[in-house]
Amino acid sequence: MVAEMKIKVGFEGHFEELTVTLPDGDVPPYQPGDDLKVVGRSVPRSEALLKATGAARYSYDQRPEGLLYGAILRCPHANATIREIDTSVALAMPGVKAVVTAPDLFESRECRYAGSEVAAVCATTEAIADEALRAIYVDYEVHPFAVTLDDAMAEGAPSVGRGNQVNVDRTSPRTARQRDGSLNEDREAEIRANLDEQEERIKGILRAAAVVVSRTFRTEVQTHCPLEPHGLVCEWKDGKLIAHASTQATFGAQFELGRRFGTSPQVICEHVGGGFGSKFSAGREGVIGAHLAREAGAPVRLMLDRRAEQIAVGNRPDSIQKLTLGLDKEGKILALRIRNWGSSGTGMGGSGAHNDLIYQLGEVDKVEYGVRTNNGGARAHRAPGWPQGAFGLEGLLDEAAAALGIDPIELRRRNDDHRIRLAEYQIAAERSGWKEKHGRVRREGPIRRGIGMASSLWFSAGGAGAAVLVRIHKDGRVEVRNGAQDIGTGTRTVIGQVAAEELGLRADEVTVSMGNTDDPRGPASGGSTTIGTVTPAARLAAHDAKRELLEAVADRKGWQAGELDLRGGSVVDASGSAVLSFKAACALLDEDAIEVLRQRPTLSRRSANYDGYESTNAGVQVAEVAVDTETGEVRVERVVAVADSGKILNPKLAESQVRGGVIQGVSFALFERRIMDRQQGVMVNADMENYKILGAADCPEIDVVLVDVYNGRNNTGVMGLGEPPIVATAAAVANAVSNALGTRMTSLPITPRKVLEALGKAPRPATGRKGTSL
Amino acid sequence: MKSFELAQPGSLDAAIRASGESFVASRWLAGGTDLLATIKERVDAPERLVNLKTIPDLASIEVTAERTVIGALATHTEVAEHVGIREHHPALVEAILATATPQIRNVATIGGGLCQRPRCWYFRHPDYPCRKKGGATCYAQEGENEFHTIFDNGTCCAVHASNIAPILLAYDAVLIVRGSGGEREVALDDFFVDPDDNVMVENILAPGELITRIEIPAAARGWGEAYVEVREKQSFDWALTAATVLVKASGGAVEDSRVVLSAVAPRPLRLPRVEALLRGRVDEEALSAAGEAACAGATPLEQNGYKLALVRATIARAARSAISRARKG
Ligand SMILES: Cc1cc2nc3c(=O)[nH]c(=O)nc-3n(C[C@H](O)[C@H](O)[C@H](O)COP(=O)(O)OP(=O)(O)OC[C@H]3O[C@@H](n4cnc5c(N)ncnc54)[C@H](O)[C@@H]3O)c2cc1C
Ligand code: SF4
Repeated sequence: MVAEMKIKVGFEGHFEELTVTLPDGDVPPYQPGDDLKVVGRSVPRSEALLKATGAARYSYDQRPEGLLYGAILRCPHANATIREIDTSVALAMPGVKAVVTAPDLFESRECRYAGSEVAAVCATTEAIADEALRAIYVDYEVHPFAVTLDDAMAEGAPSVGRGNQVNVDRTSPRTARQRDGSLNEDREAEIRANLDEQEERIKGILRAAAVVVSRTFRTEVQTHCPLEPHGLVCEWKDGKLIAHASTQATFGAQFELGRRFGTSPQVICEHVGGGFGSKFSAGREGVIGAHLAREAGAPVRLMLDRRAEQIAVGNRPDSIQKLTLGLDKEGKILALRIRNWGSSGTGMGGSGAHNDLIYQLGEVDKVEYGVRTNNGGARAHRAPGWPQGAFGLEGLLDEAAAALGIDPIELRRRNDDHRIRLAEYQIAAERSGWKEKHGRVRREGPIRRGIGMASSLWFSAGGAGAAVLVRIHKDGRVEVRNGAQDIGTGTRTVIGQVAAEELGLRADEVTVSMGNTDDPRGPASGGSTTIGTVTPAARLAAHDAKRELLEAVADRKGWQAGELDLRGGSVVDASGSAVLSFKAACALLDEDAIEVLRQRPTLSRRSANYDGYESTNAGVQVAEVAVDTETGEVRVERVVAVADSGKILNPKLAESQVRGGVIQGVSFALFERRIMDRQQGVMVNADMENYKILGAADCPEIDVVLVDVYNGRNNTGVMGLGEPPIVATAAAVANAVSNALGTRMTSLPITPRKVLEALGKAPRPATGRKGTSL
Repeated sequence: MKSFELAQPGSLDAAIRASGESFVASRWLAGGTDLLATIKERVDAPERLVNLKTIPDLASIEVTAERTVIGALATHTEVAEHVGIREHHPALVEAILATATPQIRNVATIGGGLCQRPRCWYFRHPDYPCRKKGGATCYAQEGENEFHTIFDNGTCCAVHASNIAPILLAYDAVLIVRGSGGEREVALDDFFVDPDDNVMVENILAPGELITRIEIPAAARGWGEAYVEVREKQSFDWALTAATVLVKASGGAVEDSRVVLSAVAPRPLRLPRVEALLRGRVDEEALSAAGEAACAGATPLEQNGYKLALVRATIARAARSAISRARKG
């Protein structure tokens, strides 16, 4: 059964009425003007003190009695086959408790990047484990390799894959292949014919366009660099695996390990020291750790070292984006031609650059290729595909704006119909002083100051797949439980706020437990969907728990439950006066506690959310930079970040997400890149010294503006904000640098060397140099 | 990492004995910020570390009318915060504050800063048996060499990364070195070893020898001085190129000057040719001529040609700033 109701949607100055259909039993969405006491307030992060004082216990901190230390032996070659592996000496070393090999565990002798797992040990000390690794004898058959896009794409490049796998393959639309990998020629011919036709059509449009701009953009591999490495501390108790895994998917890790070992484990992860998309899987390290613990019959800690972190547990793929854009003379985009290449390691797919999804782009001819390289595999990285895609698209739009003599923001407005973003352009322009600054590059000696902007888009209203348990104890304590984890975004705090609001309590009177698979199901914390998935269930559960409590109170007191409510820590009557404290009300319970478990309300199997207002987040950022034209140094001085994420449940935490996104985005724009040695195929900066990450002195002033949107899409109307704020930053920074220099920066990161090369002050080295194999 | 013994001597003599005993491969341990990293990365595997921090009086700093004396065990922070140093050696303070992070500067010593091993990523990677580690190949020459040297790079192209070495060189500093044979003085200019002569070490210290203190003559006090470095990041990062300039000026004219370029060669490079151009009336034209002259003889590698632009920029900036400070005097 469903109910229809009229609600208000939109945002300040742009409200409208909408009739929505609510699922049976759901509470109506928050409405503008609601008298909310806890929701929408800047409640401090509930675990802030624990984290700041070091009291928070991460996976790394778990030290069960008798803990053994695990370590992984990794292949030094970029492409090799294990001929023979002998672990007998290692196993015989005093203190060594178990040894496993990758060929045994993963049924493959192939090592396709320098750093892939070969064997692992556990021992009574880290030092012994380390020595034992060195006692393992491995005989490798070494093959030629390619570790950069250029090398792998070159004619006659060594084959990265095995069997009939090619180095470069179309991933979108995917090349038609049979199961065994060979070409499905008929199907492929059909796809090609369609692509040819599409290309011809676009060519025609481009010929007729008033302005055509064309550029090739490049971005480098970015690694995740969570401070807490990947891995787990685990032990087997009575045949059940208990895994303290550093994960952003407790239930995913549970499922994966359960399938592997034939028995479902308990996964616990109260706090995660960063994940950024790289911790969705138990990973090989998780599987290895669990095997070692089982074989040794003792708890094992298997956490990766920094070098392995940089190499073996994911990254944001690199990209080459060849883009051509055609516009009419009013600046209306007519067509966009896109050819993308990127490498997600030895596999295919997941390396796309999303350069065709923001704005109305007319006809789009997009073909995307994956490139196999002998590198560790890519994983989701905060808005996968987006920052690199935005860099290309937004750079090209600025180019077009210049060619047409139209202000860049105006050009975007003319090709945008997102109601929220259209308002955000205005806010961003005003906050940044865009009008005065854009047209006029400010010079001060060798320093030139420029300004640039870019937009973002995200889709994160959440979905089905969560349940929340609310327990009101007889002594007045309130517990809220969900088994997903808070990867640092503040999910735990916000869930507590939503429940506290229903119960008329303060946020700190509600205890939220997360990160334990013994609790009700929750989603993997990814896609910025957690908050939108879990909070509606939390709200409904708290709401229904309140009703149960009030029924019990009414029953005992002879009152009318329908006239009672909870507010300000008390039971209030129809007139709003407090008649009983919350604690006293709980004390009236017959049972020890009220327990209410509620699923995330959804409209139907197919659509999780109601048809509300805009179904996507927008976002606009403006960056201001100072470029030293003699040294090539770039400083990002200020970023105005206008962001929205549906109903802002906690401005402080929302702002913190935006700041984090901007910081990581500036870091991607100016510093971060994996550097591969092409002679041996090894990452030479697999550390945090030469793999450069923004530090405090590089951090711009960040001016965050949050737009509070009532999207009416579920009972909390919140959307996630972990990923959206990183989408636009690098693009805005690059546009600002280009604005300052009067020449387009087409390659990230923008290092002093690249600025000097762009200014003609340094030689541009030839690309495509062949690596010499040893 | 390989296990090692730790000797904790209470005196210099005991330290020297501990280091030389029974032919163990030993290393001096000062702040450990570099040494322990090389051991952990398995670039080095000494059998014994001799802790210098347990020896009294190696960390004192004295600034007198004749000279400045810095104990080799004084930390970067202690030096930068010393009142006399701040007064007489502003460029040394500048160079220190551009070094690493506050946490590292709090433990990293001046002796360790001069003796730190190269940061070349092939050298620091256990799987590359490069020349500096006794192998036959310099991987950087044909490899990833964006941060490597543009001078004297025929054998090894790792830069001398120390921030303090160039300014101490410009000061004509002298190192007091102790070994089993007693004490000797080594001018800093004679301290560094050319890779063509011996690629496996960066300085002339014999096994069992250590620096006890650094003496800076008072002669260059009151000169205008500046240290200017360019780097990718402003939070801790290594210099891509740095220039140190000292000038003595009276009225409008420069009477004397000292110029050192660093992060571009296997040692800090004193540049007499450039010093000659920075004398007399130094105008913008002279500054660009100085920058140009500083590039003479450079042999950039495939990826580091951009450093020439940085040489020009840093030389001109350091000179401009030193001259203006000399005038403000
Ligand atoms: C993240 C990071 C960033 C850095 N950035 C910079 C930078 O920007 N610029 C820069 O210049 N440096 C930088 N450094 C290097 C730093 O300056 C050195 O690590 C430090 O100065 C070494 O001093 P220490 O006392 O810790 O020496 P240790 O690590 O104890 O020793 C280093 C070496 O010197 C030898 N040694 C130490 N003292 C003596 C002595 N008295 N006589 C003879 N030999 C001795 C040791 O045996 C060892 O071989 C950085 C280091 C790190 C970790
Ligand atoms: S530059 Fe020197 S340290 Fe680096 S690889 Fe070459 S020889 Fe080794």
